[in-house]
Amino acid sequence: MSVRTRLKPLGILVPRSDQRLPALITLVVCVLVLPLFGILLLASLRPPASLPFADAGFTIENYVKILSDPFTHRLLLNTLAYAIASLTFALVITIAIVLLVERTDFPFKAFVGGAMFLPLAVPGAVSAFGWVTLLSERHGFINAGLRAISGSTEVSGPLDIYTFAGMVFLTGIGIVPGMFVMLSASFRNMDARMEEAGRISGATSITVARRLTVPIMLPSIAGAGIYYLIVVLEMFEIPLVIGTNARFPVIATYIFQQVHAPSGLPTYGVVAAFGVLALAIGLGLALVYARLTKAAYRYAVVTGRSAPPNPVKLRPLAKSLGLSFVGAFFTVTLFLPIAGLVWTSLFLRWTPPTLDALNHISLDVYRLVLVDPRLARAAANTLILVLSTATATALLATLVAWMVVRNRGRWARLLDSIAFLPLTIPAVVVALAIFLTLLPTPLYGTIWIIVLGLVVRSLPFAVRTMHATLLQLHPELEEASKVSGATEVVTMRHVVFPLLMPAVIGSWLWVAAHSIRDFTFPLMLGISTNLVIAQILWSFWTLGEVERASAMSVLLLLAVVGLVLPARYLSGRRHAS
Amino acid sequence: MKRLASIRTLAVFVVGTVLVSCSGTTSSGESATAVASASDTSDPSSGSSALQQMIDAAQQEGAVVWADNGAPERITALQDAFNEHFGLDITVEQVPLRSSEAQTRVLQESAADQVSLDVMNGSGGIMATMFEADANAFIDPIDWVELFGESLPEIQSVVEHVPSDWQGRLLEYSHQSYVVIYNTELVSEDEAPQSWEDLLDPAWQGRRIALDPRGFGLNELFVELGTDETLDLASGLIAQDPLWIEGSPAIAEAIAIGEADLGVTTHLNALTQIEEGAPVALASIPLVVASPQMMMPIAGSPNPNAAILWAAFVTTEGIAILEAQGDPQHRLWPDLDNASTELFQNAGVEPHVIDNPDDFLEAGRMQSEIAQLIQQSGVE
Repeated sequence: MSVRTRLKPLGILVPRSDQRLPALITLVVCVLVLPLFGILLLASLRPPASLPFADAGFTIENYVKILSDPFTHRLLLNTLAYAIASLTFALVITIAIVLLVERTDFPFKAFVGGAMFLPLAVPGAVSAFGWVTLLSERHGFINAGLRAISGSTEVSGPLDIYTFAGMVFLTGIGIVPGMFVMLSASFRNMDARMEEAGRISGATSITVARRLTVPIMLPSIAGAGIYYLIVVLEMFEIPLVIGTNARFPVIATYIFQQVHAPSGLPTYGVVAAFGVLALAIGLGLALVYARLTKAAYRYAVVTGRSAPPNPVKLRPLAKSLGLSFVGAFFTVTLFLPIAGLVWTSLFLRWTPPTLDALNHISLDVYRLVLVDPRLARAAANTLILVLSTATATALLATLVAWMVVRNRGRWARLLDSIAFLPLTIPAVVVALAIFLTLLPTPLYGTIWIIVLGLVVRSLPFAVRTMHATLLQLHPELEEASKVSGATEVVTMRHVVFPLLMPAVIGSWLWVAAHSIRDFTFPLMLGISTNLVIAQILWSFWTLGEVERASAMSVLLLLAVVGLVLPARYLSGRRHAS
Repeated sequence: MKRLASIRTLAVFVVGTVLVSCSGTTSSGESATAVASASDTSDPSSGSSALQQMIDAAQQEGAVVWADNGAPERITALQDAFNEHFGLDITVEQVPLRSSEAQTRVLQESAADQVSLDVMNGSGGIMATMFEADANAFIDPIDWVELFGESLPEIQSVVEHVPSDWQGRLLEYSHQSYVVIYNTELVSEDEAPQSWEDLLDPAWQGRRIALDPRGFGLNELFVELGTDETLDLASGLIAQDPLWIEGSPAIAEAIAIGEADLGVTTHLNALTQIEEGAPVALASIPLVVASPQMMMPIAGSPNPNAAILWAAFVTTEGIAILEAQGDPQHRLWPDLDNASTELFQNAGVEPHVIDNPDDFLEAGRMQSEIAQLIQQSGVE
C-alpha cells in the first residue's frame, strides 16, 4: 500500500510526484512565514499590559479598542489618502521613465538603470532628515538659497516640507526606484512588433504608448501598483519625520511609536491586533491582484516568434524633454539629498553652504566614523547580511514565481498567497513577530535571524518582480525545448534563466540595497554580536549626531555604487548578447 | 470532495503550524552568577578577596556588553581606564540602544532566559517600570561599599543616593532635568520666558518653540504643578503649533542654529551647546524637576562579574573620564560643584529632584498621556 493510500483516510493528501517540488517549496515558505502569524495572533489576544508569553488569559480587548476608537478611524482615513496620493504620483513618474528607458533610444540608459538603485541605499528616515536639512523653514539650504536669490527679507520659507504635499512628494519619489526595478524587465521584454504595427498604422509614439504598451503592461503595472500601495500603507519613516509637524499622523507611525514606547512597556497586544487587521486588508488586495492576473497568459509577449526590442527613435525635442524630465528626477531624488548629506558630513558642526564655509571643509567626521570600534564588526556583519539575504531571496523568489506561474495547481495558489503575506503587515510588526518567535532559540543573537527577517520581508517584492517577468514568457518556449528532448533542468538553464536573468539581477540588487538600508529588523533583533551598519547609523541620528550620520550614509551609498555598477554592467552585456 | 479534502489538508497544516509556533519553547540559557553576593560580605575583610574573585571571574568572561547610545569614542577611553584600574584585559561592547529600547529588550530576554545585555542605563522611570514588570531582571542586592569601598571610595556617595527599594541592585549615574533654553540672537533676555506658563503667550505661536513629540520635558512637572495642571500646560503648548523634534540633543541643536527660537531640552544638552559657544542661554524658570539616571547590571546576563565591575567603575571614576570625552554626566547633589550645579546657580534655579519610585512611575504615566495628547491633536 503506498504512502498516499495510507494517509488518505486521515484527510492528508500526499502530493503526486509531479506536485512534490511545488509542495516542497510551499512547505519551505510556510515554515518561514506562518509561525510569525501564529505569534501575532497569540499576542493580539493577550491583555494589553501583558507580555505575549505571559500566562495572562485571552481577550478581544485589543480589537475592540482599535475598532471602536475614533482616533483609529481617522488614522485609517489619513493613511488611505496618503497612500493613494503617493502611489498615483509615483506611478505617473515611473511609467514615464520606464517607457523612455526601455522602449525608446533614450541616451544614458545604463546610467539611469544603475542610478535607480542608489536612492535605495539611503534609509527612508535618513532621506527624510536630508530633506528636512534642505527644506526646513528657516535654515534649509534650498529655502535660504531661494530667499537669497529673491532678496526676500522673510526669516522663513518660502517652501514648507512639513505638509501633506511634502509627505506625498517625498514618498512618491522614494518608491519610484523600486517600481522601476519591478517594471523595467517586463517593459524591456515586450515584443516590439505590436508597437511597430501601431506605428505603421500611423499612430504617434504617444498614442502607441497609451493604447498599446501601457494596456499590455497592465498586469505588471497593476501588480507593482498593488504592491506599493501596501508598502506605502505601512511606511512609517517619512510620516514619522514629516507627519508629526505636518499634523498628519498615519497608522504606521502610531504602530512604530507603540513598539518603541519611550517609557512603559510596548502595547504588544494593540500592535499585534493592528498587524492582524492589516493582514486582512492585505489579503483583500492580494485577491484583487490575483483576479487581475488570472488570465495573464493572454498578456504573454515573449514567445518563440518574438522579435527583439526595436527602440522608438525619439525626435530631438522629445529627447530633450525626456532628458530634462529624467534629469529633474535624479536631481531631486539623488543629487540634492546626496549633496546635502555630503555637505553636512564635511563639517564637525552644522554649517550653512556659503563660499566662506568652503575654507573650513575637513574629513574629521569621516575620521571619527572610521575609528568607531564597532565599525569593523558591523561592516563584516552587513556584508554577510546583504549577500546572504539577496541570494537566498532571489533564489527562493525565482522558484516560487516559477511554481506559481507554470503550475497553477492548489499548491501554487497556496504558495502565491503565503509568499505575499509578509508584505501585508508593517515591517516593524514582522520584526516583532520574528523577535518573539525566535528569542528562545539559538538563532537569536546571530546574523541569521536578521537575514531570516529580511528574506521574509523581501520575498513578496522579489516574487512579484519575477512573477511579472514570467508572465511575459510564453510556455511555448519551454515546450519547444522539451519536445526537442531537453530535460527540465536543461530547459531552465538554457532557455528560461537567460530570459529571466535581468529580472533576477534586478531583484538581487533591490534586495541587497534594501538590506543595507533597513534598520527596522536590526533595531528589533540586533545585539552586540550581530551589530550591523544600520544600527550605528540610527544611533547617530537619535543622538543628534547629524554629521556622523551623514558621513555614514555617504559611505553606504559608495558601497551600493560598488555593488550596483558591476552587476548592471554584467546584466547589460548579457541582455545585449 | 477533492476541494473538501484540500481544505481539510490546508486546515490541518495551518493549525499545526500555529500550534507549534504557540508552544513557546524556551531554551535553557546558561545564566552565570556573579561571584559576590550580599551574604558573602558579612566579614569586613572579605571585601577585597571577594573583589579579587570577581576580577578573576570577569577576566574569564572576557567582555562586558553595555546598552548605551552615547558616542563610541567614549568607550575606548573608559575601557582602557577600566582595564587599567582592575588589572583586566576585557572588551567593552557597546550596543546602541536607547534606554527605553533596552528596557523592552531586557524584559523580553529575561522572560525567555536569553539575556544578551550585561549593563543598561535608564531613568528612574525606566527602572520603576522594569521593577514593576519583572523584579527578576534585577540582580540580588550586593554590598557595593563592602566590595568596592577601598578600590572606588566614591561608591559610598553613589550608593547613598539610590532609593531604598533598589538598594544593592542599581547605582546612580547622573541626573537629568528638562529646562527651557533660548537662542540669544533671536530672543532677548527680557523676552525670554520667566515661567512655564509664559510659553503659552501667543507671541510664541507658529513653530517658534521646539518640543519632543514623545512627551518628554513636561511629564515630570506634575510633582510641583499637579497632574491636571501639567496636562493643561501640555495641551496649551500643543496649541502653540510648536516645531516637533524627537530627541533632546536634536532640540538643543535646532535652537543653537536658530531653527527654533526656544525649546525644552535637557540641561546637559544645554550645557554642551553653551560650552561649544552656541548662542543659547538658560531661561530663568524657577521650576525645574530632575530625576536620577541609573546604571543597572542585569540578572542572568552572560558576563555578570564584568557587569558589576563596569557599573561600579563608570559611576565613580568613569564620570570624570566621560566629562573629558565631552560627555558630561553630572549629579545634582546639593554639596557638589560641577558645571551643571553652576549653571543652575547662575540662573537662580534650584532643581527639585525626584527620588521615590512612585513618582517615577507617575512621571512615566504622564509622559505616555502627554504623548497621546500630541498624537491625537494631529487629527482634530
